[in-house]
Amino acid sequence: MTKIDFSIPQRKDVLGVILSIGFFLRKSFEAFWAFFAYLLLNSQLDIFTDYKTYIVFFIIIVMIAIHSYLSWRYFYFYIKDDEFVIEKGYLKKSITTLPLEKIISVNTNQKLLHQLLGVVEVKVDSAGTDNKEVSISAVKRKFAMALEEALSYASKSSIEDKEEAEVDRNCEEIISLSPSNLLKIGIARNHIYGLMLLLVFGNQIYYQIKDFFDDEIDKVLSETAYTLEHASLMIWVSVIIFIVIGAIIISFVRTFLAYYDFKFLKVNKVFLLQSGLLKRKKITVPFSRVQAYQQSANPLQRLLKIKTVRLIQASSGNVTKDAEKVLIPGCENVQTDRIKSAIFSKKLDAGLVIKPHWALRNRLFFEKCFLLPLLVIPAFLYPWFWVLTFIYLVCILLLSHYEYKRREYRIDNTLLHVRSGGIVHANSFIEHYKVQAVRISQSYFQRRRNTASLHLGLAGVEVSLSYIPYETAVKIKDFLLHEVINTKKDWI
Amino acid sequence: MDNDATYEQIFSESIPKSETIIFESLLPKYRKLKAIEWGIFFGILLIGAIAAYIFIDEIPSWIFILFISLYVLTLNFVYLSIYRGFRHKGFAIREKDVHYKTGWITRSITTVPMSRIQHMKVQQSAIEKLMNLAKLNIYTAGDSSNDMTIRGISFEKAQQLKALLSGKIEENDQD
Repeated sequence: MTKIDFSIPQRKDVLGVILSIGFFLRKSFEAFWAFFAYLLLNSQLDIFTDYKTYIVFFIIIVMIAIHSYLSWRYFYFYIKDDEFVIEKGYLKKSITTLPLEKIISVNTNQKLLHQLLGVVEVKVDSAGTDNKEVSISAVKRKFAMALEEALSYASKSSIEDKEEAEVDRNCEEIISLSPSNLLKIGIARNHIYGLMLLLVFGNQIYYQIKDFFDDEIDKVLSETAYTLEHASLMIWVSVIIFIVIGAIIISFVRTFLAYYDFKFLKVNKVFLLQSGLLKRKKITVPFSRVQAYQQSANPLQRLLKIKTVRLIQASSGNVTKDAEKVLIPGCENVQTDRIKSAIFSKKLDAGLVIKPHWALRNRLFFEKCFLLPLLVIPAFLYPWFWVLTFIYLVCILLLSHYEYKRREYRIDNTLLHVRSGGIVHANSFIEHYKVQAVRISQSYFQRRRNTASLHLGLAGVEVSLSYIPYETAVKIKDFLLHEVINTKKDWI
Repeated sequence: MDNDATYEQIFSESIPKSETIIFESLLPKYRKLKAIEWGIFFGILLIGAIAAYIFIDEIPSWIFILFISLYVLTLNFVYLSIYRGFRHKGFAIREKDVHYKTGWITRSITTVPMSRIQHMKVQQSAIEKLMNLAKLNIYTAGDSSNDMTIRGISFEKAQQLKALLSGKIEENDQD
């Protein structure tokens, strides 16, 4: 591997200048495409024959280029006194320092433009509430690897990993997804999400176009409305089928984009995740950094016997972007067992099984009543809404009962398992010593029934044991605190 | 229960019991602080509402009356919770963990082991400064729901607690 001295300030790759120009152009195109389309199509404005237009465009491009160049020129990063330092800005200077011991992950990311230029984006994330995350947008892959090594070499826990890495370099593939796997995952995806995406996207395009082509849109819309009003059942059914197929196609496309050539490997004490078609991401997860293991399966996935596994990593702030989540779709039992046995030192024993109090069922039921006003209020105008209300109530009653029946907490000497969920089955596993804070809460109703909820705060996730007997909650709390205080292991 | 054996095995008797913790209550003037803070809020709200009623003709009287009755209800509730809830607030520091309890209708006790504290901050608002009160924020890794704030203590006490806890953090690190 190339040796690069990170103690002297380093710059990003020169290609970064082109990259940021490219991103700027893409963003402005996304924002103004309808405006450009309007300019192109509107024959009355012949701005494209006017040389002034080109001058304006040229000046804009030059200004962006200068900005990109200066940003690149004044962007430095280096390692000094066990801190990773990033200096940037030519008008307003800013210096970010991350203590090496607090760096929890170094990931690389490749968008389409990165792939074309042959560079990668490096993201460095650190622990704590300071919410510090830095990204270095364009470096060569070899450089990124050297940086990754330099950063993780310095942090204490990884040195041990490295030493072991010298001894044996065994690399074990846990799961890799073939196109047929992807097809399966695509079928079992949540199509409601695809539908929402379709609606939101359609809405956005509609408003963008509407601003410039008002008259044409109105004409088309009134014609469509007229057809639909006088349409037969056939047309309605075909419209619905069309929308459903659209949602399913979106699910497939999203699956292929996100999980194309998906690989999840185990290298010594580290997981390696690679996936994506246009936007290739690569995440390294040392076993010790995994805070919680979660698996879920919706009805379609259960039918196909696959599960989605998510590994919760300690991170600054909440990880909401899909790009940073460690999601492993399409796992079968063999694979989930292998992932679990890699993270946890032992399997969950029979342990103590705790069932929640039946009051949880009522709670789950009332939580689901929030849609009720939407049905009851129209019911005063249209009596047939009462039927819908009744069906809705029966459905949520059955669902909350099922959810309550499924809910189960299991604890043994090292592990805690929470089984939950109704339509989507969910299972979470955590190791006791990863707990950061414990909270017992009791509402007025819970006090009357002598139950309590125990909330365990972990870095990145909160696990709750709701509606368990108060005495048990206190005992578990004392036990967990005892484990956390007396553990020899580092939580990160 | 069938699995009594495992139950005993997991929760052995030697584990320190949290039921025996004696909580130190907050300074009584904390109630006054809360009363003033909420008083300012409710005062501004009332002035705004009356001004709106006088100057905007379109507001019918029944809306104003409805607002005032809701206002009185929430005001009562807030002040009741300040004074009734006070005796359910308190903090305790054991050898290796910190506890804070709060709440009136829904009560909760949060515990943070000292080895899990990331950093701490002593804060004082303008009113708190006048009353010589302060709060101590204790941050852990991850979500903000894990963080703990000890309120209603004097500034000196907050500093003292911070020093005590950070001393213990270092001790833990050396192990």
